[in-house]
Amino acid sequence: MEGVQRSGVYEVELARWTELVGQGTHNAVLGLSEMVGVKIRVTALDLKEIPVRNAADLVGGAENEVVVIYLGIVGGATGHIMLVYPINVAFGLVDMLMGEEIGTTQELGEMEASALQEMGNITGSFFLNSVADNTGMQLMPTPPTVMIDMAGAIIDAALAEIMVERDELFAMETVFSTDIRDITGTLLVLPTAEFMDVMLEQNRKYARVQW
Amino acid sequence: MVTGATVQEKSIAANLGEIKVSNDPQVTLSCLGVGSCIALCMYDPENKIGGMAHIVLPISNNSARAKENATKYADIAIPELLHQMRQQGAVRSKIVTRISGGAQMFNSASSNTFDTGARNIEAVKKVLAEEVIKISAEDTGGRKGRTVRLFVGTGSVSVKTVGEPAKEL
Repeated sequence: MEGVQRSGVYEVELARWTELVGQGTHNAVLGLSEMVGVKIRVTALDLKEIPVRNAADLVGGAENEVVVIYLGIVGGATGHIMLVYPINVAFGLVDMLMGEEIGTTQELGEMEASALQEMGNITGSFFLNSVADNTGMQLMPTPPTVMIDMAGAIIDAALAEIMVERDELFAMETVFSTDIRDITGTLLVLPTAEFMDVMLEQNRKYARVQW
Repeated sequence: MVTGATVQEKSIAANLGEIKVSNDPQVTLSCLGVGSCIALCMYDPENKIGGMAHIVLPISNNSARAKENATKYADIAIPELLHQMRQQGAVRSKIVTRISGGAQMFNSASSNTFDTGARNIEAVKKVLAEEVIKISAEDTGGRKGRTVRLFVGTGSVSVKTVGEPAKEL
């Protein structure tokens, strides 16, 4: 894999990282399922290395209007977690969270944003707890922020931070959905270059003890 | 066959860190979904040459890392955009410069990205001042994303935010 060689990450380590992230994602979706009371499944889990400048393609293009629940990753390493939903899907989620009939929510007021923040909290914490448990890293989410805007505009400050270090990005893209209601969304995890280094190093150390 | 009424407008987007220059009057240059980045628009109205830089980061500090995709940095993108415009025949003294972007999308408590938007605005202004280039119009800061378009045929620049009509800059 050309991209892997370029980043100095060995294939076996990339496989380990994929495994860690996969476990974290399934844990996050489990948390989400419990919160909304509906069985949610991961329909696609894709870890890829892409040019940072193309990152907006992961969320439907730079100009695509979306709802994003954002959490920063702090602690042993930094990064970004974003739950990205089309607007109507986000409104439907709010209805589910607040026990309203689907179609009730028509705008994102304080209460609606608060419900989505809580959902971000659960998803982010479940994801980071799993990664932390498997690597011994200390990872915490920042308080979540909810916003509606163009996808490119929401993610570019996070991308700028990554672009200080490199022009390729390890993006973890998960699409999840349920049979009962359409809640298709994307969980985007954007680790900084430093995050990848720390995670792999910690994982190596931890592996000697655990595995 | 192309008839006069159906001449296709060509859209060219400058992605993160990219520079685009055109002298084709049918072309619209754009930076789509700009948050903390800066859309730098330059236009020579006499020669009808337009250029856009989608600036991501403030100053490169000449580090080795700056060599790859270096035009993501303000201090490298601005001289490079001027150079590319001159290569297409633009006259430096005629160039009209407008900037947009530099929003702070998140409050600092929830993000560890610091205030990239404000630092970008400051860096772009500093580098333009060093190049002795005046900014004729700007729409910067705030908390909203923008799509910025430069119409090469007319030189007009439009800025669009979500839920509002596009306005001319």
